Amino acid sequence: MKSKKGKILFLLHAHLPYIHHPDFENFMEERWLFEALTETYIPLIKVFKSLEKANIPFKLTISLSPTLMEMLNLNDLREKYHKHLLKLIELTEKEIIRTKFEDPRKYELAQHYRRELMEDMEIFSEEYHQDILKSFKEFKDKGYIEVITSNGTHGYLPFYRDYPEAIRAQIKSAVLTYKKYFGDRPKGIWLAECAYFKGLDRYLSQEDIRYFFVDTHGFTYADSKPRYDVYRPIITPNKVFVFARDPESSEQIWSAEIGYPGDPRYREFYRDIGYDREDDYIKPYIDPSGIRCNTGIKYHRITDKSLSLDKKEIYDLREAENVVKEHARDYLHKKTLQIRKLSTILDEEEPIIVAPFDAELFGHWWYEGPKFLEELFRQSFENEDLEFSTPSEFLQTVKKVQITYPAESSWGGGGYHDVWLNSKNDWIYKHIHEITERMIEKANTFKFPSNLQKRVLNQMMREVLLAQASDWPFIMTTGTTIEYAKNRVKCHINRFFDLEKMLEKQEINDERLSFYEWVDNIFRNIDYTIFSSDYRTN
Amino acid sequence: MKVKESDKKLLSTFKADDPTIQELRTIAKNLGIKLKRNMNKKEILKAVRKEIKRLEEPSNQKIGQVSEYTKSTKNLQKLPKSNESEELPKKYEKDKLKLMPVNPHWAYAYWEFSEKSRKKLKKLSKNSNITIRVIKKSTGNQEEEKEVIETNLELEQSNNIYFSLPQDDSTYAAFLGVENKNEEFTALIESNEITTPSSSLKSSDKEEWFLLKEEKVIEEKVIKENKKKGLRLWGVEKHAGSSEKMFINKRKSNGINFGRD
Repeated sequence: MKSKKGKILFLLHAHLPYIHHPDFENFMEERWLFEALTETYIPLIKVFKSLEKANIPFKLTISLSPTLMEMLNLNDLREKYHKHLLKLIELTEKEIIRTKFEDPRKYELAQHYRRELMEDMEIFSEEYHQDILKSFKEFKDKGYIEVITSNGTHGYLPFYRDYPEAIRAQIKSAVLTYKKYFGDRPKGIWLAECAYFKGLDRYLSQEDIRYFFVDTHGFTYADSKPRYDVYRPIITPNKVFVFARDPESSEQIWSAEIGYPGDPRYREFYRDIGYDREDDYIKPYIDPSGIRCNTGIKYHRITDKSLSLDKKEIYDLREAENVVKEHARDYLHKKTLQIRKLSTILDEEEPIIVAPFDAELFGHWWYEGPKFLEELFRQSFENEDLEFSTPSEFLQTVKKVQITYPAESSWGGGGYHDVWLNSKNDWIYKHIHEITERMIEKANTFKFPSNLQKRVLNQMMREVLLAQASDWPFIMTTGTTIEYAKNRVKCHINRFFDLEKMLEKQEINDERLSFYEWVDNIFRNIDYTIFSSDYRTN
Repeated sequence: MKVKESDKKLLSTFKADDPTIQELRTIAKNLGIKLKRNMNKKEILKAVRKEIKRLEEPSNQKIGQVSEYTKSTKNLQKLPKSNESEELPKKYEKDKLKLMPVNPHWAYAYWEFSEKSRKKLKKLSKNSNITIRVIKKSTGNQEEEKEVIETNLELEQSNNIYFSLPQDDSTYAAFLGVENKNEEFTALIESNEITTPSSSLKSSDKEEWFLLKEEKVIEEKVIKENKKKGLRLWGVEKHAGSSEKMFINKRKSNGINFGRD
């Protein structure tokens, strides 16, 4: 008996915190966006183009966080990225000359990097006129990808559950920002950090969001155990569909122990010429302060995880390309077996395997990741057991769905809220809750503000939302830029208080207000009334 | 001069894109700028920017319009840098006790007092202990609220604490007050209620299903055969977190992280 087909749903969550320092020519943390563009977003666009050119159908879900969308739309960041690319191209040209006498394999890689960067420049500047969001819209409109959103500033929503207005503001800003760039409303949402609490679905329902995702145990400990485990969506009593992560399918890709990215033949992330080259040579291409950082030009392979960085062997591009093919084949084989097994279990229902990832895993952390995705789609073209799908496409086939609430959960370490609430970051919540409460109060008080008052209130809204970002407590727990994260929380809270004082004293300092508007230049199409208690959704 | 609606659209186009010389000419025309025939792109751009700056001065502002901050040395000397911040307020002068769930068995609480309450507490604490009590709220099966934790505090100590809670998927509330030598507790501040996340499987013999076409809810009996067929639910130890986290944390970083581990 021939097995029924099953579906795979790949989701890439693309998010970066809002980092914008227009008063600095160079700012270290702004490089996160530039690295993500060069190593993940543009390579993904190249994959889409390559597949389209080869007439290979592909289905992929991408969630773009509103903070990322807004940053990709800022002129000064676009200009900075343009300069950043030019610098990198210049560096590869120097590297081509230099590696010619070092090692033929390095020389070949330097040429490869230059070619890649020239293509990036072509795509970024010439083809999309510095507007990368247009390319995502293009592939969305062609039906290849389903683009969804994430909460406004990636706020960790379970911590604001006592403030319905704040939850609404995070969801509303997500919907409005998505609409601004994609023209329609988002069909689904990737909740920041996959963090869900009971009742959150009601807010999503009010915004006509049809589906969201939870981690595996969101289903395991659901109010009523889902009959088909994580292999079919459920629906909440508020009529929102929920998909859950299949641990096996994501682990095969990202696990350090058994995952593909740890293969010794893949490129070593931590060995970068930003650290290897001598000061005078590398200085123009790292942070002006002299702090070493990644350039993205790397010549070594993982070799052996236990080896120190100086013992790593030279990376072989062609060998890595073969490994990508091998791994894509292996993954599809495993998924085929899984689908066949599931098909025998799931009665008459078609199984769906949900595999969500942080987008930056593909390309940034795992250099070969985008090529792996491309290979997956190429090889799955002929597969008779499974095919890739998107949530909306899959939901069209659903006739009957189990009703239950998923359990409160996140996809952070431990599965709950520990990463975002612990002794390293708990001090922030007293202050963020305070400004959240004051923002709600102001939104309820100022019903007919003057133009100037409205500007102040709108900026206060931006500061509250930016302070709520889950990134700051996350970095405090795990990151290497802890001081930056602490500083950002303080900045937004202090700016809020400064603006509040202006409003209360009726002494608005236009210069400082303009400065805050210039720096925290986000959600221009949204006003502060999203924080009012009687704000009408939809 | 007020900015027309059509002009506002043009301005946003101008800001979002890198316009061609033709587009620039259209923008300039719509803004009422007179252009000379021999003007190049750079010159038109300069004229358009100048006009936009003029239109966007506070006196020419319309509601919600962007105020472009002018980056002059004079301004930047007066203002902080975008990465500079001061310390946060120590207190907000209010009575507040906030509970936040961390995971199925832990909760975090922070609190503060108004000056009035602080004085009152100081007075009361001469003969009593300042105490936080955590109560497990009753459910349908229990008859009364049950006290689960009690912690004595020093008035001047730090204003937050973590509580270990006995049961997942349960509702708790906290009270801050004083307890005298006879163990009589007077609550001064009450917290919000929290429900800890669930970490246990629910068993039921019924399932609710929604038929999309009919828009109808039906009940079905739980099918027990799944176990026999080998469909397994995953254990909690599998819940490790985001993709990068696992891949990166196992390896030693020697440089600038990406901001998301």
